[in-house]
Amino acid sequence: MKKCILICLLLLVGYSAKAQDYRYGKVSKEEVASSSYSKDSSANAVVLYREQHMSYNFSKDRGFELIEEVFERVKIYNKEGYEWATREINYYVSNRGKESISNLKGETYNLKNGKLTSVKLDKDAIFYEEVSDFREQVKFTMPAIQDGSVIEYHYVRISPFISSVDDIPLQYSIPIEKLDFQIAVPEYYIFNAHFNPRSVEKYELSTHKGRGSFYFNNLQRRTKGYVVNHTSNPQKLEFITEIYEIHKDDIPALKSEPYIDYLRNYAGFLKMELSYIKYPNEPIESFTQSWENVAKKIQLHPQFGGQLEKTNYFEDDLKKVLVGKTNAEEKIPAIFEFVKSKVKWNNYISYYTNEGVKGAYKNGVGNAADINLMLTSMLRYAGLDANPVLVSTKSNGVPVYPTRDGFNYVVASVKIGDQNVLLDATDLNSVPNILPEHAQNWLGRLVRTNGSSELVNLMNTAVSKSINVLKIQFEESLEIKGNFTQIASGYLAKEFRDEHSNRSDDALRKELEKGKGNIEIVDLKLKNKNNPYDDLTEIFNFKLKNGVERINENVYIKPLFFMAQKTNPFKAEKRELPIFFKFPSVKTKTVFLQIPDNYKVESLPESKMFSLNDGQGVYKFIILQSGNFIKVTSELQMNTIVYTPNDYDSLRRFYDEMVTVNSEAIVLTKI
Amino acid sequence: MRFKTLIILLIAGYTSFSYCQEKDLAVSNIPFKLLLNANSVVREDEMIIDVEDVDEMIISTKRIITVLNANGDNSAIAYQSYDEDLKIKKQHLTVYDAKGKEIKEFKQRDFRDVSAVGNNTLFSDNRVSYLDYTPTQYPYTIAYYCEIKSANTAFMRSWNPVRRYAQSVQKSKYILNNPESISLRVIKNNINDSINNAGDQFNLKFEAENIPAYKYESLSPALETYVPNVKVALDHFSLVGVDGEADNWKDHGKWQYDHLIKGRGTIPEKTIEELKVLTSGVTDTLEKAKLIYEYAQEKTRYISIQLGIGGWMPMLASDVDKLGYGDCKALTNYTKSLLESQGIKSNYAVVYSGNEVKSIDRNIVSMQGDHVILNVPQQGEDVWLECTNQTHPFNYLGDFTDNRDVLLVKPNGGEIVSTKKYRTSENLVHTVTTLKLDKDRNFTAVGKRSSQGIQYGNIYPIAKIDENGQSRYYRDLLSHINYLDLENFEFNNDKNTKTFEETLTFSGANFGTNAGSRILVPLSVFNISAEDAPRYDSRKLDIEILRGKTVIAELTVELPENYKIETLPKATQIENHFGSYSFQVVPVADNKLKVTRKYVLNDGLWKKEEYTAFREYMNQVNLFNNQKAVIAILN
Repeated sequence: MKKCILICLLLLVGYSAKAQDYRYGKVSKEEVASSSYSKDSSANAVVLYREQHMSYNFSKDRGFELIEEVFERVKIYNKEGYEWATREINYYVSNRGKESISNLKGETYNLKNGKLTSVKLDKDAIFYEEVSDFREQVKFTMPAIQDGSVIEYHYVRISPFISSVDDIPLQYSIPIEKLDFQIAVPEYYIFNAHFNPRSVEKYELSTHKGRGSFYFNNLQRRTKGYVVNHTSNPQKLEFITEIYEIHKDDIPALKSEPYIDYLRNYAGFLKMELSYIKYPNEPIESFTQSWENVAKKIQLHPQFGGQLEKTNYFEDDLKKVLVGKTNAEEKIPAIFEFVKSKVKWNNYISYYTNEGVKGAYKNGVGNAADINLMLTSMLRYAGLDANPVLVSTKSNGVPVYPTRDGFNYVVASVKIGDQNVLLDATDLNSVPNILPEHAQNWLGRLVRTNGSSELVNLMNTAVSKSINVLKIQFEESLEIKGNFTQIASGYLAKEFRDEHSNRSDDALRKELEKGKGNIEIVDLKLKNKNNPYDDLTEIFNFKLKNGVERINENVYIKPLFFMAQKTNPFKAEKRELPIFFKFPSVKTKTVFLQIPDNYKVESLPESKMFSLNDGQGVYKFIILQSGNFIKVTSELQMNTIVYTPNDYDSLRRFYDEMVTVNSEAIVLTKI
Repeated sequence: MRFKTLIILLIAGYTSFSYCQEKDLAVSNIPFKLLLNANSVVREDEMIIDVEDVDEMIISTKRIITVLNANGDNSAIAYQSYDEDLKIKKQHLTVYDAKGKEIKEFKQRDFRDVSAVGNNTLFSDNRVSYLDYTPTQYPYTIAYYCEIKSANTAFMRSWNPVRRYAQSVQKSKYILNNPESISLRVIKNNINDSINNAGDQFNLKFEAENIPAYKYESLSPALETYVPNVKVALDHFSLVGVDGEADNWKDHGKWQYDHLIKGRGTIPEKTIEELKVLTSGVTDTLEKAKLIYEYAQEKTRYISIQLGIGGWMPMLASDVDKLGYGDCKALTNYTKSLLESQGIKSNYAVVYSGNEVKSIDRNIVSMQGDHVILNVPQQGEDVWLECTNQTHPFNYLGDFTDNRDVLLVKPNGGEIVSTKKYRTSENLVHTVTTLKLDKDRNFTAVGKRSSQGIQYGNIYPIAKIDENGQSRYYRDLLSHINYLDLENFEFNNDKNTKTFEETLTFSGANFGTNAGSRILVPLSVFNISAEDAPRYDSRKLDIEILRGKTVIAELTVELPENYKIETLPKATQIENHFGSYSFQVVPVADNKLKVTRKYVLNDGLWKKEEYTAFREYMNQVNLFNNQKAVIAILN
């Protein structure tokens, strides 16, 4: 610790030689006087300096502790930046111990009549709050904030959770002008450190060796949560430390863009993963360092692998379900639906069971692990080759480095031939191989009973289809009577069910009337609304007023009516982050139109076909006239689901062109 | 919520539940008419308030609710907020299946305890005890019991048998026992003969049965304005240990002033000196008040901290002066003190905030409101100041607190007055666009939009967001234009006239609709959007437009030489009691078209029978907004 402080001091002395002084309390007049950030004029606030120093300390009473010191100096340019004057620091409590926050201090600097003034953060304005049983929060807001204020605050977090280091933030939604990070780890703890590889911003991690020591009367040490007592004379414990450092200037703000899978996936941060612990004269306690290890560890856990072994709680019921079912094609949906009906998801995400499969089965409620591990063991019981698949949900990011936190969810898989069929019984609208959106995130890891594992693709490559048919008949007044049919499969059907299955018929009718002009929908029928195993069919008749434009002798008709793609979803000029479609799809729309009496076709739009980047997407628009009938066909195929920012412009133009084609009018003229 | 989160009980309960037979809870016992349009049914709702003393009451509630489908789940969330002055004594919940058979029981220890600090609040001592229950089947029934003890008799629970749309009520009962015979005031709204009223002067008993579910309909008045409710207040009450006595607004306001506001307005001499310098040479009171309001806006920001009596009492003005922040009470009191130091009188005004327009109920003298603003009395129209907003112009309320009754808390007593109403003609949006089209259907355009009244407050914050967000907003606004290139946008915020002006420069390709040898040119660039008026088989509720508006859109389209105007839509004029609409397009020199549109929507309340006519008006507005000029392309 002392060593660490010394290093800090040395570092600080080094910096103070430059123009800016980055020591607490040494805010300069120039910093407060500055009225905009030269490197990003849109910034409402800028972190002028962030320092985060972490180290291990040995406390006589509490054993090893992780100490984290944070100091930030933030410049606030305008009112939109005021939110940076309020901070919330979370700290955690568990049955293994409690984190604490201490030495919290802060100060606000302003210029008053050309003079630097400051106001201290009052102790009474610091609030401690129990947010939940596991989480507490310190909150404070800095006093006397004005446009131009510079604030500083500093705190120390002391944590008994020595083996888990929170992700180290290296980027904010405002720029960071200067960042210093350091962690000094005693030789007993071996960490793997890695950056978020999807971060646009790149960082360098330097390491070197240091030394540390502690003096004790009573040597106590924490192993696996227990304090071991050794009585001995005062002694000195010396050890080597591994010091990791990051120093970086001018880190740009992380800016959000629409249609992105999850913004945090792209932020700069450092992950510190404990690999193993090696105390003197004790064997190595290994933690994870490969995905195989991670999977094996999880498999060995009683709340995972242990749950898969239990069968007696469901055997009697399941036997009844399986009566007469001989092959996998019959057994899988039967078991899947049995679990769905038996246990409801409580919206908790986890790969470890909470109540345990037995309790969940009895109570009818469980978390994702309760449900999908139960499903896996039932499938096994029925003689199928089933295994759990560890998943990282979209909000957890893409698992890049092997850590147990890299996963947070589990689904089931069953092997048929050489195919893995994926199942998630938490979602009532899900069917085999159609996972809910949150579970559809790159790759999962299938774990076998013996602890071995393999990667499986979670992104659905099966094409979801919708077929839309619109039949149009004109009244003499040119009002339209029509009939609409849609048949949707795969994810397109699931999206409809997810959105509408809770609506009453009347509410659905109203919802479907939205955006279709002056329409009246009648005889609305849905087939397979609650049967996800079959295609969803939507049928209705309708009356449409002002569906075409009559101007003098001519009638102008938009050939796809309310099925047209009216606007381009890609509006921004450029894009820096990739674009995700959830699944490949083909959407066809066909219109059958009878030309009203006393009219003839004056002109038809041209048929067209064009593609996106050599067939990643294809659009066809075909219009045919035969006597009094016109048939319009529009087909959009999206074959590729992930696009890089480089593809953005062509994607945008592809949609622009489609919107244009969809807007061209059929012209009729009076005979 | 800018006031202390008032103690709202959605569901609360009572413990002696021995008389209710399980079979009574079977879904088959619900009368058919209560199942119509309902996601849930209140089987039995009973609230018993025992007023033990001026500063002590016990409230026992029992709520038995049958949830028919997943949309009704949120009506069966069992929770109770609590703090220093409101303690939960008992809580307990039982779940039954459709046949009325018990399937699960939860005791107090199964409830979770979390902090109830909202998003806008830095800290509050409010907490919530709630039960996290995942239903395993539909329908199901929950029976929730809760008993609390509260010291704040300044807030008396009212009786609201109908609390939400899509929920019918089989039985609802309200009992107030008042053994000490403390004088009561009671206001009954929408209480007809079907409701059993068996109370006396000091004790209350109301009972309602079989109220069918109300279905939500858009543009309808707030539910609470037409369903039965009873409000109660004690003449002698207590708030966080402070006793009060009042049966009229003058006395109640005086009590609030004396106990909550008085003596909290001292500001440092240094600040007073600064204000003197700031306002020196200015003689006009309003001009002075404006300078002081802007001074306060510059110096402070909104941070909400609600602790104990601090939930109702403003922070000391001297603390706000030092810290530069506070909640609505603190910032209003501070601004009031600043004005006072320069000899300008103003009043602390308690209000219900939100764009739904809720008034302080003048019929029931009691603690009300959830927000505070400042009233500066004037000859003629008073000036109103929103002190929690750092960017609003002087004397601008917007839709957060406009047009409603508020309570002025003055040294000599309370008074109910109304805030400013923004009239149809004041809520003006005026766009002027010129668009130049070339022979290849490429175009360049400049559009200016100026907004006033309510619209001013809704749009001017666009100037404060980041450029990405601004660009996204304008791309959405103009999303009907394909191949759009947004070249530039500029803002001019005139705080004196409260006018916000946006100037957009943009261009694009493929303008209009290709129709063989012609093109159809849309005669609208900044679209006027009609109100969303969905079709109802039979409209059940009245129509209410809270704020009127006036939209004027002018457009000049310049055509290239080889384009010939073939047909122009006819001019239109619609006039009815909902408003008016006019449209006109005329050719002007040099192959130009000049389009003028004016859309007026009045504020008002109309009978449900008028809905068809209203919807027809909206359809017409949409239709005329969509009109196009037919242009022939000459070769």
